[in-house]
Amino acid sequence: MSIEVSLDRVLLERKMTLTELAERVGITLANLSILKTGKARAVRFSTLEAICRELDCQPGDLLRYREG
Amino acid sequence: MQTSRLPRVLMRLTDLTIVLLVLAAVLSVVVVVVSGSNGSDARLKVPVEFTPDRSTYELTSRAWGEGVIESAQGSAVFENPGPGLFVGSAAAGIVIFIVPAFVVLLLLRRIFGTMAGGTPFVRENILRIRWIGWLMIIFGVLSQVVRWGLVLFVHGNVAATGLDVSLQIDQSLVQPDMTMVFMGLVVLALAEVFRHGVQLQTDSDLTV
Repeated sequence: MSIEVSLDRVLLERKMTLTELAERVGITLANLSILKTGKARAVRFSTLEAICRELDCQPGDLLRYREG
Repeated sequence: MQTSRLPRVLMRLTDLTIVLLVLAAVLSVVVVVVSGSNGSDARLKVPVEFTPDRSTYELTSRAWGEGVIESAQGSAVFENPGPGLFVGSAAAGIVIFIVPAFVVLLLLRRIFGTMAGGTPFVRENILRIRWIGWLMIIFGVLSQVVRWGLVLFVHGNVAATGLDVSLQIDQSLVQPDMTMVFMGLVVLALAEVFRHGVQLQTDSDLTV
């Protein structure tokens, strides 16, 4: 997939675990893992909004388009 | 997601049908074995249509003069056809009907199982539905071929001197019955719809 997810990098910068983020955002750890590993087919705006709020970042910090 | 009770009921019904089918298969084998060991006193009755030889009868009418019998109908009875026919028909019945029906029931049971578990839209079910469709088509074609074969076999094996004998063919045996083939095609179409459902389910599962 040419959309790259940088959730692990942002989590590392914020010193936050995936479990903690899942609890704060209110989605399951399994779903957040799908997003982190780049297996997700779609992201709801509401999920993206909650993640950006909790990590204090912009959607562009999490998602990046890569050629090919 | 809350699952309906219907798939579980259907699973139980499928189990019951599988048991009945196995019993039917065992029973047909037993009947063949018993009739074979008893010297097979079963008679073979073949419906025939014939034109009697004109030298063997005289048909007259006071009002209309002489006549001929163009066509007469009756039954040819064979007292001792031998066990081969019964063994053959039982074996053909098991191979053509019971085995595919058994496979279809097992596949249906697994489909109902996934429905009862709340996850019907899985890739395995697409293959199961496709198998059911193809088996129905194969069964429809094969049973038709066997019926035509049976008609030809009996027709080729009945001969009588003095009579022009032809087999009185039952129309239901000769006319092609495409019901199973059409039903199989419908099931294959449903498998394609199911494939789309699986894709939507995957999209939904991978949406965060």
